Amino acid sequence: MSDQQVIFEIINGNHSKFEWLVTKYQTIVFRTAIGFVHNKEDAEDLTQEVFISAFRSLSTFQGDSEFSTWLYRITVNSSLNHLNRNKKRDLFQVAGDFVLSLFNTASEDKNPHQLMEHSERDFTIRNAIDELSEKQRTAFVLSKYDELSQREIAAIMECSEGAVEQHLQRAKIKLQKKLAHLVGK
Amino acid sequence: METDELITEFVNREKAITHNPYLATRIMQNLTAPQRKTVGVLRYAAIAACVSTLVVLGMTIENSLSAAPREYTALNINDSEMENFAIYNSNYNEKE
Repeated sequence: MSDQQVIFEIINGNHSKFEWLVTKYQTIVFRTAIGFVHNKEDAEDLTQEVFISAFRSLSTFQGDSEFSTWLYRITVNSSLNHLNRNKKRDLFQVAGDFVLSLFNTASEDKNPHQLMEHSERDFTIRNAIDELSEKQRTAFVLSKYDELSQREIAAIMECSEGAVEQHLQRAKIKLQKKLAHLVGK
Repeated sequence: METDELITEFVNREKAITHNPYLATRIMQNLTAPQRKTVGVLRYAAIAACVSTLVVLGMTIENSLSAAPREYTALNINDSEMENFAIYNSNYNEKE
């Protein structure tokens, strides 16, 4: 059964068929969301938000692009909105995330000093990714987390492949600059 | 370690995080329960009604208490007319 057929059935009132789409695409939506928010709970909430938005606007889906492309677009927009809403994260939340990352790091026989060092490194990388511009970040997440081709990213971001390449290149340079002090540690 | 390797390692670790196996069920449950928003609005309305009732009740009680005439009772006791309790306690006049 193709996506188009399922969407047609959902629009015609068979709402239970939407579960088929959710089951099929929940992993990619969740993976993209985690690339933006770096947190399991937030990513799950975003996944839910994305599917609810998709369900409500399913009738507006023209079918010009792949359903996955359309869903990726909703995911990116929802994730960016979520980040803008929570831009002013308080100090306690940032500190809390850092402590949580300390406990969530797999031990692999590392001593506390090494664990602390790894958590600090993750924290720095996360912050460096978060400081990328919206377009650079979107291109970076879709490329690294979802392993999409530049053509697919261009279709999602509604820009040219050249623009995507430029965003990725700039993101790479920015990250290299921000993480230069970690190299060689 | 190169920057690219660091980033790839970090990304791979985040990619390894899996979602709740009941996520799809949770989403479908949310889709089939549209009345939830109404309940939320009703809850706020109920809280507002309770607070308003409490305020009105408080004001009514306060008004009724301040309007009612108060009857004070005061004991006017003249100490000089009080019996001396020492009379009952002393055994000075008693014969042994």
